[in-house]
Amino acid sequence: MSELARPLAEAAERLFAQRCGTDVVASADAGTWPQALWSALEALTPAQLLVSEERGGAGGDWLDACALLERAGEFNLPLPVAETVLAGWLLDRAGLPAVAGPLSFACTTVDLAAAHRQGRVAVEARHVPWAARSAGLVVVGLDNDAEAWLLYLPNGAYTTAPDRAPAGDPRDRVAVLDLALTAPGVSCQRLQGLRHAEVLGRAALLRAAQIAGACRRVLALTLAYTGERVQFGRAIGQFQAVQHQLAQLAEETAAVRVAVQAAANTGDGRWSVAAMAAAKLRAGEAAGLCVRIAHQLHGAMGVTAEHPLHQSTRRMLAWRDEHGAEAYWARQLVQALRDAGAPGAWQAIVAATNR
Amino acid sequence: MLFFRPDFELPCVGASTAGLRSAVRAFVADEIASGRITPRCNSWTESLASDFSRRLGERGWIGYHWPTQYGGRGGSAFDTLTINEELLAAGAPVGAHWIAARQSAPLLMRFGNEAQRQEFLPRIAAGTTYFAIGMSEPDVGSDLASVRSRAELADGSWGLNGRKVWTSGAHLCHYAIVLCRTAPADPKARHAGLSQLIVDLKAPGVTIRPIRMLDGSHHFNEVIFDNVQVPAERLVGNAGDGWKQVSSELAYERSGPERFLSTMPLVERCLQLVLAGPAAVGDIAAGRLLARLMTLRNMSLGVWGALGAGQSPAIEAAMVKDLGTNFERDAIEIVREAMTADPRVAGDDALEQLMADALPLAPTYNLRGGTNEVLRNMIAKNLQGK
Repeated sequence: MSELARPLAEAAERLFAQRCGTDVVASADAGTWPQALWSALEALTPAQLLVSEERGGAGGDWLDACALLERAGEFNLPLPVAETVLAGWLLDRAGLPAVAGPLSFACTTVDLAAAHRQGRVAVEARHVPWAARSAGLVVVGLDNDAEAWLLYLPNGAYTTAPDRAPAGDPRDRVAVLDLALTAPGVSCQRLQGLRHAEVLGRAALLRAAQIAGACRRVLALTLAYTGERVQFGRAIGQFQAVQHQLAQLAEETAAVRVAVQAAANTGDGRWSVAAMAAAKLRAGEAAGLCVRIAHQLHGAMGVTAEHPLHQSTRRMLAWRDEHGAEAYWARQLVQALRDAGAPGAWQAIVAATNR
Repeated sequence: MLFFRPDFELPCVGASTAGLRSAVRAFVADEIASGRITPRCNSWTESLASDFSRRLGERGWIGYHWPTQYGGRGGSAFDTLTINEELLAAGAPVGAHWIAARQSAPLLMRFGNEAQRQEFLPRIAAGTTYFAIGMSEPDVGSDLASVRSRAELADGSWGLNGRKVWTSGAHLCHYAIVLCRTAPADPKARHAGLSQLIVDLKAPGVTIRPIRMLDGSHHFNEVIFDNVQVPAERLVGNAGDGWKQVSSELAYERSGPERFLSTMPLVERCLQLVLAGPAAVGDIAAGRLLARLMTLRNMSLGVWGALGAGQSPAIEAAMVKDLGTNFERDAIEIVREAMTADPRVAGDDALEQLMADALPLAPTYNLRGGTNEVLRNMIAKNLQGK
């Protein structure tokens, strides 16, 4: 692990605990851009997190990125943190200069190699996080000769139509009708040594990390509520039927954290996509179960607008679908093993989980 | 709690155990190819083969991480885990020595005296001496503090009376470690006055009767002790320390890879058929099995690493056991559906045989080693700070 993960997680936790209360999240969910929170977050330099120190970055790795995103997920940070981290990493990998400000990210099936040859590009993408509010957008396209391509578009080079995820986070529609790649600020580059599946896997891994953090939050909320709520003369947390669900909630929370940790720890190579697929798939399964349990144990209170539970649960349900839901990654996982020429499942599991 | 700690790091096990892993794999493949063993699910409870255990012992693959003076090879705890993972995943018949190696030996290592260690551990490592667990009784399952078997010390010998049930393998084992009352029950201190004795199962006064499983198979027994004389030096540790010993044993009993690999031979066969075929919609079910297995292995490594570092990850082990045994049970259903719905998997004789053996015993997965309900109670109480 890089030396960064622990201090970064601690700094993020302090900052978010101070600056990202449920009122800030509620106001963002109602449509207000949380500028003060963004300015505070910039002190953690998310866009430089995965850039090497020689190139002016923080020299972090995926464990560091997951540590930050776990905290962001726990506090329901209504900001494009994952997107800014990914965009900063990809701009650096493409040899492009760093860009200040919040950044957006979209993994698409656009043939950017063809666009590069023609000098012009058209893009349509849905559910792009904070596209309208970002300084720029990193679009990743299909592989060409086993390498993905990147398109950088500064804000203004694309049009947006506003849309939102269920919890209220902006997920805009983006369109670029016919843009010359020579337009100011636009770049189209090959991502050397990176496949589309790896980029999507990294994006999915950061969502899984957010889910891990959100599971922690709903576990804490549910433990607190079932300890306070009195029915039939005792706290409902005293009933075994409730205790068993609390135990399951904790087990799922632990499982996601381990799956994320394992994938973040798996270096680029033969098993990285398999590990990321397992993490996003396991996180998606856990998200569904944890949301169900947390709401069941919160009773009617948990489904009100007033109670903060939905800030977490609605995000978890959105995140489990973004960058590939369970069924998608299940197929990718099997295919990754097939592609690796795995003779048997157990051998592959050992190889993919050994460190 | 281990998995929730911000600085939790998964242990590194890869390179150091690679050679050992291939050696075990090659050995098991050869045993299967030559017809000496037949793989099956639940091999750690259902397949008792003393000749196979002895062949493992000859290679040093039982208690590999124990000190050499006790018959071990001085390897790491992860070496032993590697050996056990490979044997279980292949469905090799490890049932004869399993309990002795997993549970009785660590108990003696930690609480036994030097004479007991020297007497028993090398024979366990050799794969020639087997132990049974004498905890459950007719009216005592999850609530172990209520055991009624009792022993009284007179003239240098404990006189043991009582009845144990669900004693796996007692008909083949040489000894049982019996939890009994050595002081009257005190309602104010339920856990006091319990002790463990090493009981020779061939001693006069021991009667062993089979308790057949629902499919007619036999690994459970009823063991009756009628004034059995147990020499005083066969007491484990101090009289009255039984509860402490049993609690520490449960961490070993619950944390091992057998808590998610019991149905692996079935899962392996199914996934091999899927991997060998073209991509299809059935990959969704297969991928879900794989993701759960990968996560369980990672969690199991985390618990194993903590145990090896001298911690007591009892709650984490309970979590892995709950998740792991639910996986074992779910896996049977998922494979069963693939056998009718996925043309790549349907009509395979080997898979049908593995399923026929595994299915009737599926209800045992969530019972043995502490029911999942008891585990969830423990986990919840820990979360609630009680």
